[in-house]
Amino acid sequence: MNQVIHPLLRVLRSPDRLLEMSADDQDQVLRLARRNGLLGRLAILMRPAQRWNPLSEKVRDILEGAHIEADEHLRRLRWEVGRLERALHGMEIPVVLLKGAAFAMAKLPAARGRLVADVDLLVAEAHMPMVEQALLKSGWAHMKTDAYDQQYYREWMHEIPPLRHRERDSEVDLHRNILPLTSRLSPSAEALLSETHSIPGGETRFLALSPVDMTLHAAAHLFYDGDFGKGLRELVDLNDLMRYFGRTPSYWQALTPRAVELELTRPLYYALRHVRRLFNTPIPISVMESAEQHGAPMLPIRLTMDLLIHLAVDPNEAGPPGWSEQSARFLLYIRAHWLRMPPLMLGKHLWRKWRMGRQNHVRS
Amino acid sequence: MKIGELSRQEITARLKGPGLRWRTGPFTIHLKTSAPNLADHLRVLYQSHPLLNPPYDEVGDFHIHLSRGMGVRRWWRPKVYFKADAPSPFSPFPLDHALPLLEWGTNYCIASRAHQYLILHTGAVERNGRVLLLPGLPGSGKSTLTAALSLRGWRLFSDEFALVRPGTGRIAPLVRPIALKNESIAAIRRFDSNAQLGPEFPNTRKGTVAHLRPPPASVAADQQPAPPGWIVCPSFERGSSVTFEPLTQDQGFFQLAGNAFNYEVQGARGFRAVAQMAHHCPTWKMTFGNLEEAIEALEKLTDEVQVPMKPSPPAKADPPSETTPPPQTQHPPLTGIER
Repeated sequence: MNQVIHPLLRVLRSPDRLLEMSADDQDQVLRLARRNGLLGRLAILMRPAQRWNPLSEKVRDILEGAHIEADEHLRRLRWEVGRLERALHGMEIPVVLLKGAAFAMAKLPAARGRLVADVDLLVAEAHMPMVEQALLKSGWAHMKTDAYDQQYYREWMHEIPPLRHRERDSEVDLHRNILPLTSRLSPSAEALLSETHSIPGGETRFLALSPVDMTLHAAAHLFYDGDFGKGLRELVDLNDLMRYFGRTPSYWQALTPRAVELELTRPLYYALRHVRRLFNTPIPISVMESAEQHGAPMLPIRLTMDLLIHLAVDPNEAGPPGWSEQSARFLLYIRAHWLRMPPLMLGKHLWRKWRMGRQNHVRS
Repeated sequence: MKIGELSRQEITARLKGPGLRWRTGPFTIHLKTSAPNLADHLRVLYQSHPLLNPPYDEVGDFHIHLSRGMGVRRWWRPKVYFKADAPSPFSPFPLDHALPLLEWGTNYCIASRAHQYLILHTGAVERNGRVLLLPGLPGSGKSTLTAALSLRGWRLFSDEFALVRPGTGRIAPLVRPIALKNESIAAIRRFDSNAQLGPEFPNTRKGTVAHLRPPPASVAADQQPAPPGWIVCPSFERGSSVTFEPLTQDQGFFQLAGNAFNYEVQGARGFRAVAQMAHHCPTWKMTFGNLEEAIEALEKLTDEVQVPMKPSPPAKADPPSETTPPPQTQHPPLTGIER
């Protein structure tokens, strides 16, 4: 692993550094931040007067534009959550917000500058049909109408196909678990739902996962759902969650045992390893050791994953992603699918997707 | 140094290598591409634009890469792709349409990122120190009218983007080639035979497109913003004579907010900025059938209708006082415009 720390990582760790950088380095930082969905976050980090005032007018303008965009996303998200509460009004069932929507409504540091678009909800499997019907009645509609996709989602996936609102184009992802049912890891949805918390502030009756579960979900989502295009952003989130919740020792004490209980030790291991590598997250040594003990893969896999994640996620050169980055992401995508379905099913699934992709290409 | 002072070889070398960087209004564009012919087009259409040379003392606003297709697509029905540090909404264009792709792509970047401005979808030209805004849907004739005004000595700000700074209310120029479509191309050639137009690109998404080189004087002044003055919503109707219909402040508000790229993104700040403008700038709808007549009428209008230089804030419900004159909240009456 190279020792030179990329300017973007330097700035994320210590925002004052941006002021010392040459115009070329600042350019790299801004461009890679934009590509990774982190420009809004950077704007917020640079807001305090002692950081903001010395910046050039152009840099301030670029950051301000990103900040305004992020604010608007937050505004829309709050609206969407309110609309969803209306749609599910009267149902006395636990409904849990996941990921960005949860961070935003709970006003966690991880929400700062985020371009949240979709709302992810988790409900008990038994409540899914009722919730789905209520959403369809309130203007959301199925997007993927292909019969194969519908069957794929309903039988095997942890979520139903995304619903999009007819008028607002906003999306809702309705989950019954946080990982697909066919995958090698199957955390228990009941266990997650039994540890939920209300969201302080009184703005929403929807719930959030516990701090430990939120962390484990973020880790599982990144390392097992396959989309490393947003990898850096998700590791920033994990760093934020760990720093924020890690102020209480009980969080660290509960992390590995809960990962064992939910069978998420492998993603936890990867998450801890890479946030510490990128952001110097203050993880207690005992936690690193127990996570490694319970979750680390064999050395060859560990090294391969280290390389792939480094290529897929670490900021490199601004400009279109290079071959190594794209290849690494592709391999990680295949890996995620490998992990979530038996080999024969994976083969059939990829074959179908490739054929459908070709048909669409010819059509357009 | 200006782009027009470089040779085609020098521009091509920069485009293929470290990139060509220039300034347009408040933005700097850094372009890399190996698409052929683009160097010639840039030399003409961006002739007077200031060139920036490394080492750069500033970041670039938009880093654009027009890349050629890979594999078979490099040679057979070759394509060009638009990339600018974020997922592109554009499907690839044919390789010889690199210039329209550059222009539309740049528009997209500005409209989707430059939220430090309230970005109105209007023509904007300056006269007597104030900006005439021309809101209108595609097909209304605003681009053609803006182009014609700029050829008659009005200072061009933009044919499509009025960049309003919500804090000061001033509009920043963004002087770029004007994209004319279909019949507008011939109309402008008839209007001014000396107009410098780039090549025509048939069969684009918007029909045939050609670009008008912006006046050098407008480019030279593109770092000087100005406050808004008048709002005129043009509507081209073949054979019609020029008529003006005054609009109320709320109608003016909707013309501006409804013809903006990022009104919703601005939130409350956008509302206040538009309300300010609708309040202080008299608004008309203008029907016209002839460019010369329209320009003459607009010159008369902007000469006669004076907008106060320092607009006072909207009047609150204070009782009128004997000693102070009533605040200027109404639009001054029009004289002699109706025909």
